[in-house]
Amino acid sequence: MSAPLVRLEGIDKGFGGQRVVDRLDLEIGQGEFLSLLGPSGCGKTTLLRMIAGFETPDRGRVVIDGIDMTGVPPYRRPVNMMFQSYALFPHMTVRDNVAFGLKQDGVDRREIERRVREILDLVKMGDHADRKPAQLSGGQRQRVALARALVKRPKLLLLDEPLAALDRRLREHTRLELVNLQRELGITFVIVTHDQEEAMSLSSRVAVMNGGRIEQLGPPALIYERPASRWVAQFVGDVNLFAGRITQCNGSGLTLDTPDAALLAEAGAAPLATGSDAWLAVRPEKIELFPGTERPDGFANVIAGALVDVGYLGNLSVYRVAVGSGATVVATLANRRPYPATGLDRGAPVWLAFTRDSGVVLTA
Amino acid sequence: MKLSPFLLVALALGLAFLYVPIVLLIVYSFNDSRLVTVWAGFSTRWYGQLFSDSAFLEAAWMSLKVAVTSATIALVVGTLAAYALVRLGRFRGRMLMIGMVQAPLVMPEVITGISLLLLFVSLNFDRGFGTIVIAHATLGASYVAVVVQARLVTLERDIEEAALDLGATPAATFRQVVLPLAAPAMLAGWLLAFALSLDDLILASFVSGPGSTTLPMKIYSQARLGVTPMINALSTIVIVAVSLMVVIASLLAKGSLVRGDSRAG
Repeated sequence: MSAPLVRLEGIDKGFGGQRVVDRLDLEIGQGEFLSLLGPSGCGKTTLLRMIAGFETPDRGRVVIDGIDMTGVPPYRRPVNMMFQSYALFPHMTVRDNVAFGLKQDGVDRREIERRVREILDLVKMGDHADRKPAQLSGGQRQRVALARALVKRPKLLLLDEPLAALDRRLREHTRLELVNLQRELGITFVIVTHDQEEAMSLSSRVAVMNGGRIEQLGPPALIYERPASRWVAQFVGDVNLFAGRITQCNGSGLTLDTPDAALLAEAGAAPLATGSDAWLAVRPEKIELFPGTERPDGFANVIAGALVDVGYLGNLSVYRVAVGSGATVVATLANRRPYPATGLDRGAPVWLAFTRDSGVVLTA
Repeated sequence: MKLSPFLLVALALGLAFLYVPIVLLIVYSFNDSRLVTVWAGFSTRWYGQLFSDSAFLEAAWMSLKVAVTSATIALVVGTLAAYALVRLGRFRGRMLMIGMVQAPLVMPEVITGISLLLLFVSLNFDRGFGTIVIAHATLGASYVAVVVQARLVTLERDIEEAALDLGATPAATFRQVVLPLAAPAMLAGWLLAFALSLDDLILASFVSGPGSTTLPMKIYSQARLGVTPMINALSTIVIVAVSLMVVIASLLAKGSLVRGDSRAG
């Protein structure tokens, strides 16, 4: 990563005695697409508003492009924001909405006209320039809001839940468009979202936030495959957690003693003390399911259980299996053969199996 | 839906209670007779006489000037107060401030009148046009503040923040975004303040001086000498003007006129 575009240093922010952002450090690189992902109230929107200049941190610094912007008002920052509500000016046409920012900067009239047309064409709203926001559909309003925030060519575009108000089909389509647009323009995007699928599919890096802190920061695949804590594992996707005690940890691997079985996993970079408590996190789609009573071969970890129920989702089926310790393990299988599969009736004995590298050992 | 006869009768009685005197007044303004209570055929001669009476016309002109000036002052003061109350956010005593801005609406006018009179006397103000304007602007500002505040709270904070984010200073944001969106409510507030000033008798009586007689004061003093049909005619004109303005104001406040505009445009 080259010199960071945004550097947040030791940011504290509270509202009415309640700490919303807690001593947070974050660097955002040039041209990056970063997602701030977290449940509501985790401080992600407050963080975004501090970058935009609508909130001032109680402590810490906001540095944008090498300049300390901590106390600089929003209208003097090289940053634009797209609001969750879109916040279009209802009394102006689409054209005037988009031109608003350029007019404030005293850009030449002909230049304004050219750039407004260009950006409206880019978001495919060129034919609607004379409409008022009230005459547009939700998807069209979203495009206008995007065009208005991009027309000044900001160094950084902030997007607050930009797709939350769209219906599912439109959302998926718009996601792709956002990614393409960001690549095309090379502008750094920072998006706030509570939707992990959105964060995964859009961004180059994801910052998972909880309680005003960043729990984990990294590329989407790393967040999903190697979560840093149980909280991250559970917030990003579904996960099975096997609690146990480490009985062996060396170069050849790690053994976790659980009530159901001694589970094998890869040892992490840092060696873990034997005898300490840990959890093995295994994603449901990484677990294989075998009907019958014959123990399957070729897997490091095999647990016996009984099928509790099956959730049929069309492309996938979700199998819930009761294991000896009383816990329920979830396995997700693609329906590659016509559903229902033979031998997978309720109460049937099954085997759960997964390889050594399917799980992640967590100590927090 | 079937209309309940009981409710219809109740409504008719209520309306009659409110409007029979006014209807009588309007009918008798077209009475040919000099005696107010005896009908002698239709005539518009009292209207004619009214428009040739220079004392009445002078009072009407004075009222109009006072109403326009005081409503305009009320508009500025009331709008600023409303904006401040909506945008200051939650602070200690916010409800108290809102209450205090609205209190003049329910304060007995006699008390407002006396207090203003005391103020003007102690400050050694020359009483006349200026003092009536101030008195009416005081009351009008409360009306404007209430109407404009109601509009501003429906204005999403996001919209102002978007303007700031796009590089508009707070002043430019107020001028280019807040004002145009609050304009219908501001106009409605202005019309209410105007109507209020036009028919005020009590405040004006307290704070007026020699040579500054407003129309309601003139009507009142004439009526004490005996009601002439000319006063009926004058009152009819005032009633029509004021009700017209209140109707426009309420349509503006609801936004139906403005929305109709944008659909046509």
